[in-house]
Amino acid sequence: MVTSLLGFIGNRTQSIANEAKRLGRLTADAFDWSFIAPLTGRGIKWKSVLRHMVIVGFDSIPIICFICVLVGAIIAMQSAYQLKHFGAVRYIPPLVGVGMTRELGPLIAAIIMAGRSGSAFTAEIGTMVVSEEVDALKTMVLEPVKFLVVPKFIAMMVMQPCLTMIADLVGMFGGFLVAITSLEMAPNLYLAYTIDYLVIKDIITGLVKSVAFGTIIALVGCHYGFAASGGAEGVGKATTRAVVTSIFLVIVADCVFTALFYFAF
Amino acid sequence: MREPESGVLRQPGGIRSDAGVPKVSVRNLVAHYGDVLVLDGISLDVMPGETMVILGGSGCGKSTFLRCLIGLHKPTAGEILIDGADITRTTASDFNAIRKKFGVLFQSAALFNSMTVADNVALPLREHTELEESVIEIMVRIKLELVGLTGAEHLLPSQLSGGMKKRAGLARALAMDPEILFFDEPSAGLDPRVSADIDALILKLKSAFHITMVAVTHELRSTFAISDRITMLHEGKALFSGTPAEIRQSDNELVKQFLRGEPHPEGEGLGDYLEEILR
Repeated sequence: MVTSLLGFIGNRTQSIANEAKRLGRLTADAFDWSFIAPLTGRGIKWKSVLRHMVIVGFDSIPIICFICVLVGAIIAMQSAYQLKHFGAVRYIPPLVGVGMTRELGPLIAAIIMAGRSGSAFTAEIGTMVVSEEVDALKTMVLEPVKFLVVPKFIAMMVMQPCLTMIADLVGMFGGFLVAITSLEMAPNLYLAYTIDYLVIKDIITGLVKSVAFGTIIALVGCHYGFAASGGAEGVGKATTRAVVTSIFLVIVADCVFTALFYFAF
Repeated sequence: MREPESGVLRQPGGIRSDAGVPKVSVRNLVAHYGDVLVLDGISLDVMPGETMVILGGSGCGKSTFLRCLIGLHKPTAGEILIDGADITRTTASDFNAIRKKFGVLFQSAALFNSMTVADNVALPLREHTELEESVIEIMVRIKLELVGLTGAEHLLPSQLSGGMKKRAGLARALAMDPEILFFDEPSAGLDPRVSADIDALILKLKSAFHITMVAVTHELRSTFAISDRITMLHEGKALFSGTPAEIRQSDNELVKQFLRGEPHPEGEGLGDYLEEILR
């Protein structure tokens, strides 16, 4: 019993270590093809990057707006529930503003993108793997990382901060709507409180995190796509694992960045 | 079993002399999937302009053999010489230069679904040459005409039939004017007439361009239609190597059973599988 338990733990540890090694190698290749290769004359597929920017960025705006306006409104209502007992309703605008820019804007946008774009990356590459398209690229001496990963990677690194900014603004708008409709706060007062308390560092920390989140979502999605095997069922399993792992790694990275900004800056 | 050709002179650096030099030469190839031995010491030579068919039943290792030849599976031991250069020991950049000499038609054709037929065929030309787009367009039309797909330039792979996909895959494999063509089950999944069309197309290409061809298949009709020589694999080993006439006269019981399409003896193959799932 103990031996089989230890064996199970050992096997799981080894498989996680192998997976981390493969993900690390893909990360190194993606950075190489995105930032080093262009300097040595090996170009980036900009047309494909733009196409992915539209798919992962522009097309995600409606769902980001819809969810973040609700999140902003929820924070405002939950805060009001407590703060009105102390006559501190005026602290709702900074609470919503700081909460959205430092934490909830980047995090909610990342979770939406993990579910929407990360899963799409895995499904796309996984389907190409099982239908031998990736093998075809290799035999034609076309590097799969350059063709399949780099456009998604750059698109996510660029679009994730943009979506985060939209999430921040829309979230604050959600809080604003609650404040002016049910808390009887004057619109200009809400804006004044938000501007007074919100500092540029709050926005920057959120945007820095969002670049890291975009990187994680793109690389994890592509990694599980390449690891897919066994037909449609294999692609489905890989997609589920990609979403779960992306969200897990996004939250771990969020914790690391938050601690870093809290203690070091 | 006939021994693979010998008498080729090896020169320093692994390059062979020109006389009777095999285009593809495999020596004692051993390959594993994890701990499972899949190929056990396969040796064969494919001469320039020759069509070699690797024949065998499901699970005999023929697809792994092809994957080793095209560099998609790293063998455990042995040599694979293409034009005298051992691809198991070359650097990645040298191997990429060798890869540009060959084209591959995959079993599923492996066309890129997001691209039109024309873009699929044009892709290697756009990536590996400095040709003008107008020249690439002409070359794409020529390749598609060659495989009988004139007018299909703007279709997506999802709009093609199985036979048309194979033809488009073949046009893409021919895009860079390869010296060697590898086929993975060229007629699998096609009806007999379309399958015969693909065989006829392969023969046409062979007579027109003298391309060296290696095809992996289990289809007997296709094998006898296109092959100059046949190597039959069984459980990872080369069971027979010879011409189509020689394989028909082979005394080997396993070869005869395969050619007659006899079922596996009781206790082997499908019987085991059914027992397993019904247990």
